[in-house]
Amino acid sequence: MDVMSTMEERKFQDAGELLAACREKMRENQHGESGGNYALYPTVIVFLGEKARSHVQYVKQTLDENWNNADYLQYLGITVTEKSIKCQTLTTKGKEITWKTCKSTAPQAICIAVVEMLTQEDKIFPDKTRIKMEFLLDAAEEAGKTYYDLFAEMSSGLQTNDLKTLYLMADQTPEDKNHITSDKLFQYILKRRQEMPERSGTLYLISNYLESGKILGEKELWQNYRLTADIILLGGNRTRGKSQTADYAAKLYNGIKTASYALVTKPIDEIGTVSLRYLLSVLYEQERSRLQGGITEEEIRRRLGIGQTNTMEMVERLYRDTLQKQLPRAEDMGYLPFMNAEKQKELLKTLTKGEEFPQALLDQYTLGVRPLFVQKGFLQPVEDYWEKEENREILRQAVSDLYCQRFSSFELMELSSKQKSIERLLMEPYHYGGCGGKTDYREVLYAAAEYAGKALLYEKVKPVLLEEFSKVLLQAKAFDEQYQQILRQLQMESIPVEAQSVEKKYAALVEKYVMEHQKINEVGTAFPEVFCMRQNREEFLGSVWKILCDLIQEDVYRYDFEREIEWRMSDMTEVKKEAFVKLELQKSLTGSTRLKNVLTYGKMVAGCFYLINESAAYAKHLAGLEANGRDFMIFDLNRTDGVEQIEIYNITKPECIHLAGSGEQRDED
Amino acid sequence: MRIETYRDDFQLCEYSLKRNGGEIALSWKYKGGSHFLIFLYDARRSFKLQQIIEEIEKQGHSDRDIVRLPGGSLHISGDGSMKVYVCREPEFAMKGQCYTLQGHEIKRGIPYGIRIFAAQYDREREMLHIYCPKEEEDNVQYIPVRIEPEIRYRPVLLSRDRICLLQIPYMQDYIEGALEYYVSGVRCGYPLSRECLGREIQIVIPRDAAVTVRVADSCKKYYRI
Repeated sequence: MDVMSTMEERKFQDAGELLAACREKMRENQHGESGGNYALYPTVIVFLGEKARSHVQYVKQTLDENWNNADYLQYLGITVTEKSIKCQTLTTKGKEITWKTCKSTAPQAICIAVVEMLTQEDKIFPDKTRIKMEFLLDAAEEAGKTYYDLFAEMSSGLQTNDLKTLYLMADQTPEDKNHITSDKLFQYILKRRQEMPERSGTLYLISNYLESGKILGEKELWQNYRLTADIILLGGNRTRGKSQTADYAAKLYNGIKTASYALVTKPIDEIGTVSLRYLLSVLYEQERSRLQGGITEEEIRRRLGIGQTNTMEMVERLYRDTLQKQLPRAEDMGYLPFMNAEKQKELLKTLTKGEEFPQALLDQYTLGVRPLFVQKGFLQPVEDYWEKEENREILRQAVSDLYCQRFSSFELMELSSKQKSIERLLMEPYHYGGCGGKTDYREVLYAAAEYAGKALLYEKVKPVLLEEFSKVLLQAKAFDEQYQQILRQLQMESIPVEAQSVEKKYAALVEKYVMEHQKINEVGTAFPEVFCMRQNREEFLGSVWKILCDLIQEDVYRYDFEREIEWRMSDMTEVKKEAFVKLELQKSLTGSTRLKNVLTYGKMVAGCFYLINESAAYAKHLAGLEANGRDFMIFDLNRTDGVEQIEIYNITKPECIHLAGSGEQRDED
Repeated sequence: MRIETYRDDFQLCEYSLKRNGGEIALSWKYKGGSHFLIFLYDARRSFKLQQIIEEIEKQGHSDRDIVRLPGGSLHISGDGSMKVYVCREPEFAMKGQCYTLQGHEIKRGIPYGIRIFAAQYDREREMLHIYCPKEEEDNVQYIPVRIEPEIRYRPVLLSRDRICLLQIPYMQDYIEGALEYYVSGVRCGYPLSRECLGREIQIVIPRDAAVTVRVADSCKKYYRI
């Protein structure tokens, strides 16, 4: 298979970017068949404040992947400044998200968004009697109270049932006193809910501080936004060909709630890291191993086309293609003058015998015309050729190309230890090979004249051979350093201990791939597109990317999470395999409630939901259980790389919640 | 004397040279200048104005004296390879903008170059300012040496070849390779050395070929056929 035929052209500045792209590409491979899910009700998603808005892609991506009519959803961003309230609508161009400022007030913007959805065809939103309005707010926002007040006054403005939900993303970390800000806002919300219950809607409290004591850092906070998106999916979904489980979905509404969230996924990040790291490492070792025993002088001469008389194929070709046509012919030597016929006969006789004729005597016999003729006809053209800058540049490039084509970067690095002796080899003078037994005096004279011209050419070319050789040695060294630096960058990406099976299995996979996809070129390089010294960093990473794209077309990279686990842990018993997903989910769910509180707050299980692709074995197992629809609900997720489990809890004693911890003094406003 | 850089108002143009019998008539057009300096020199040698002026000054000529010369020869170098003449502008104009050199000033066998410079005499400072042309090869004409080669042919019995007998007269200080002979049907020329001059040289050529002599491009200033 030609690895370059994947036709994925991308540019990368460093290994980090390449790794991120690798992971993204692998995730793309995990998209399942287009499912039958779509939003039942018109849904507007409002991001209150910059902090929530900065995570829009995690919400939007989940909704886009799972709802077929996601393009018709409306997204708004509201930002409060000292002077005004700015309202923006979301637009997309391909994968790029942009926010466009609108002149409407926030309530007006909501109304406009709702009307936009209601004017769509009936088949887009089957139930237009209800409007879902989903608000996300980071509780650490300074203007949190203003945002809440806005939320409270929002409505569709129409005669519909508004399903209004606020997802309060609490920050319980003490950094910048965020926990205090979050707590103050939560208390304010509780107070306002009591004052205006009819405007309160549903409140989800989703914190970054989990029941188990774990805190979700910036790199993991996306999970809370994905959880929010999942709840949005669950709360208003219709699956084509299936009856609506409206009753169960009702558990998601009303009151104050929190959730536990378990996510068991294929370890794509680790797989990406291992695959890329090993790919680069194996490619490198594979190339280096080709260099066995060093390169002999004879081999260097052969590769550079250096002949016995120290001619060089490249120079000879240049001479033939560029200069020779300008030169006199052998027969033209016959028109040189002679002192007299006797002298000419003497010359003929000597040369016919194959004997040498002294140069000085020859010049004398030809009345000094021969050396002038050689100067004009054979030497001057070489001088004229060399005088032109463009000719010298072309030659320089040709010499550089020759070195790069005939030696791999590893070989050049090896040769750098023998630089002096190679330079001596390159500078060995071109010497006369004789007239090859010719007896026609014109050909004999011609051979000598041609030698003079070529000798002059070699004299000019040899310094260029040396200069370019030094340059390519430096290039080879720089290339190697760059390669090592990129490898070191990747090695800094750590792999958790529990993912050691990832390393073992994928390393072997990558090695097998490299062995099978080598195509050795004339220099012995297996992957010439990667080991091309002329490439800058961007181009080099682009070459690696192309091979990577081909590598992840291998079936294993497309396995869903179950099959992948099965393949990776092939030493697991059948019983264990069946129970594995359930156990993993259980492990992940335990302690994952999105709220840390010292006091009990009346946490009551309201519902349990599984988000899993229906083709997964575990999904089939769940679907067959009696409790399906009663104790839990299944959502057919349009991805194959994981399974999610969400438990929703009603909070019956919200007054017992202290987001800042019991030790902190709570300022009374 | 003082050498000045190019100035538009001392530019010369349409400089031409004609040989009338034994005389050499030089004519040119000009914008300004009180005097003209004419340099007649062996074209094979480099022309260095500064050096020449220093030689003239060494001989004790002041600028005042130079401009008062009735016209004619100002200076002759020791070996006769450089002659300098002065011509006053009114006289030049009166003679129909023409200056004549006598034929005996020119020796046979030497290619000559003749350069003209416009000059302006400053009476107050008693200084003659000499103005250079824009390009070095402006304001110069050449009198190349005329060559008359002798070419004969001698058949060779029972052969497809014949012998060309070429004779070029001897020239002193001949520039090697200035003349070339060409054989018909052959692209390249054969440069003639000094040893070829003043003797008959033999060239074996095909019976139906001919030999011609030409001046090398770089030497057309010095010789002509």
